[in-house]
Amino acid sequence: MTNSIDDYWKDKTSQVGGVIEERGLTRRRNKVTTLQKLLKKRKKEQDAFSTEYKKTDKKLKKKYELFQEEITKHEEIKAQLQQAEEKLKEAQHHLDSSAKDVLDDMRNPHSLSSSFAVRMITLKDRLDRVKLPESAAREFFEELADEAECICGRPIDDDTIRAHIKGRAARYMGSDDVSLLNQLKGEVANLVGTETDSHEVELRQKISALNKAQRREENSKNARDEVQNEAIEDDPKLEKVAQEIRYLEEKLRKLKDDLSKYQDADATRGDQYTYGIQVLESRLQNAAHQLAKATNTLELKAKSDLLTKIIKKAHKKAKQGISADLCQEANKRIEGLMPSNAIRIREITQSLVLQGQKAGSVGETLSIGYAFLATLFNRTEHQLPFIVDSPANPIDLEVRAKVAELVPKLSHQFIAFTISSEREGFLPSLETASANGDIQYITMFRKDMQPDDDFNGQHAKDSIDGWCVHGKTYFERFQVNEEEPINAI
Amino acid sequence: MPFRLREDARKWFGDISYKFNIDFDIYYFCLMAGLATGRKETISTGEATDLVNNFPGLYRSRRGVIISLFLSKELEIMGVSMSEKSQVHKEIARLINPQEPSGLSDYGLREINRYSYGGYDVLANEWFDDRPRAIEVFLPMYKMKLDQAMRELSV
Repeated sequence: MTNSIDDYWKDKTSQVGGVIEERGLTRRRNKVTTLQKLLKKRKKEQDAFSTEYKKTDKKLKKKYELFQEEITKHEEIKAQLQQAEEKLKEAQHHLDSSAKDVLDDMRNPHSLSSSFAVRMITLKDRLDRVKLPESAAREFFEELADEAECICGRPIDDDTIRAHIKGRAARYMGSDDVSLLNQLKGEVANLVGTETDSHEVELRQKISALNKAQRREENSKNARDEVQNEAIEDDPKLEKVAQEIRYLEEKLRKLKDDLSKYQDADATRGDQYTYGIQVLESRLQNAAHQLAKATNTLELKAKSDLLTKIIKKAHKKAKQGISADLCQEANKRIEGLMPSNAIRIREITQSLVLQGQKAGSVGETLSIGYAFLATLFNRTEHQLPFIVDSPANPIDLEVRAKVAELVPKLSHQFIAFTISSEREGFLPSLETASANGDIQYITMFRKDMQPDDDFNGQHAKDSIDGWCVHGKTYFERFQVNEEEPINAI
Repeated sequence: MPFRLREDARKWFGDISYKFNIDFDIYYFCLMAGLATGRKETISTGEATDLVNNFPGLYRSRRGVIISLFLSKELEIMGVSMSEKSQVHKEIARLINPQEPSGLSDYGLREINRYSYGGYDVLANEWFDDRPRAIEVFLPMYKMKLDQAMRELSV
């Protein structure tokens, strides 16, 4: 929509000769086109870096997991490593809490520096000394000037006296000002008190504790790394994963730097050397304004800008509104699915952002994902089946059972593709949770596969290259030695 | 008029901002650096974005101390002697506005924002060689640099 507005305006400006010479007009038009192309290019580059960053980050996380998996296979260091990890975790927790303490204190200007505290108290004392604010407010004298008689009993029967009182009233603060200033002075007295040094002393102690916590965390990390290195030296597979991790960490750092270029606010470089998206957008806006001026289409430009702004705002507002609605609905569903669990979705951006935590357990993540998708499906006019490939594969038996219990509450129809190893833990709970037991069991496998039973094709449907068997009995019994076939519920 | 935050400051704090509850924390650290060094900057409208028009969250209870520190610095810069009651009154009345949620007038907000803008320059160009990557490193370093700046100013 915004592109159409832009195209319409471009079309208009190209039709109008305008008031300046053709050469000048062409120059301005070219400037707009060049900036538009450059901005598009920069956004594309930024997107590419951003995608690569996400991909690399994902790969790195997988490598971390693989590393953990491999290293715990080393029985000789398993206990040692576990102990080192626990100590590190504890040290990190302590470091986080120390940093929070310091941050909380530093939010007080009077803790940041005793000089700040002295300044505040000095200001308060000096205002007290010069009697600011006064006990009488400006309004008192303004009202007095309209009276027939002064507070001292003398008549105010002359306009000169009235003007004099009103003039002098301006030297006093209004009652609101008086109240605010008194409030500020009161807050200073309460928060800073008389011991102006004490707050900074307390902060220094907390900073000292933070430094200590930082050293402890570093030592714990070194101790953990030492244990890991021992294992790495003896195991080429681990060494390879460690190398890949180092490579990916370096790549991620570079990508982060590359991405930061596009947020650069430096407006001193020429267009071709400028990467900051906002700087380029502002230059384009300016160039478009210059072109509009030259083509006498300023009003049209203002209208198209306003319309674009409204559309963008409407889009943003709609996105926020939909996101908030979805969050609310999904959270309600999560509450119903997991009543004793406080995990909730805070917002929806590129992904689901959780409230107060970065991630949940595998079971929680799956449940939230299912609840969110179910919310989306239920908002449509048409009820679509919920189709999931391998719903229980990556999770352990206990979590499987919990996820299976959720399934019947998610949508009217749930289709899952499972392999035989997924039956355990998942199927019994699913059957128990499904109130009416309305489950269809279908087993499908290729004809070149040999099941571990006496399958002879009876009661089965066949296609060119596969078999399809309906029924729970066969579904539960089915097993092959080779590659796993697909069972569908 | 609201409190405004420099875009480059937001970016500079990018790696540790998740440790802050609100963006006003970034504004505050810039402001304190500006007030400590007396550095004020004026920047173009596009280089900063609106934050809030009041003291948010934890800062609500710190409004009195932050404004007092700001008033004290402004009176010092304007060369107003605390014994000149009418001058003090005039200057304070220009900076505060009880009708505004922040307690500051438009003029006062413009000036306090300028300290925050200037404070960011101090942080990025003088106090730190590189942008902060970890909050536990940033906080002690910030305090150390603030102390140094205060000492240098008092010499």
